[in-house]
Amino acid sequence: MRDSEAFEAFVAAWRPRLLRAAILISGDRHLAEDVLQEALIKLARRWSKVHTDPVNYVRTTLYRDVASRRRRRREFVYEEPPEQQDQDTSGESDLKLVFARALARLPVKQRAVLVLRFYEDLPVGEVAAILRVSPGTVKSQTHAALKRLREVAPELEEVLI
Amino acid sequence: MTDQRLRELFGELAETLPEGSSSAGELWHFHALAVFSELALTPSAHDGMLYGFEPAAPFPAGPA
Repeated sequence: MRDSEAFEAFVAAWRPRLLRAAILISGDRHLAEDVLQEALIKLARRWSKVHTDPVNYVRTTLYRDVASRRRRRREFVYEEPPEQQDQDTSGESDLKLVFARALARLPVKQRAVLVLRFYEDLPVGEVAAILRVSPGTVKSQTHAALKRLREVAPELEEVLI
Repeated sequence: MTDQRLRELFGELAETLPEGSSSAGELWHFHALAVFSELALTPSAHDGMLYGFEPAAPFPAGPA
């Protein structure tokens, strides 16, 4: 398989999931699309060196770029899915919104730790490698993030016993 | 807050998010593929040269 074909296959397989992870970390669909596109172009340029583990190269790039842009913009805006803005008021949907809004109250690094650990389902060591921090930092950030979630959204505590 | 319940919440939230691009066009895709085209045109790409072409010969001197 040629490099360009391998790259195309990687993008087709991973882009949807990476986009969702980027939205969860950034809270902004358009920012997430921008940073993912830039990350994929960087990946193409470095394909010969990182093709053995492209997904973690993209994850690292995504996190770094989101954090960098957020430092410049400071705010976090969670876009409520259109289909839920007007009609769905079920308890399950409410809980998702509570969770999303609580996530929005976390610093980017803590959101990234939670997304990588619990959405991407990665072990602590791999999250540490992606974020370029120690495993101990991942654990402490996870603890701090969960504590913060409980503080800003007591509703989650009731459901997540 | 159990790990499993967190995974479920993230999964449920992620399902409400788009997995495709909303932006007009997919220009990034052409940029990315162009990278491979450039590399293919570049025998010396890994030596740091952008293009493997020989430098153009100078224009011949005009008539004296």
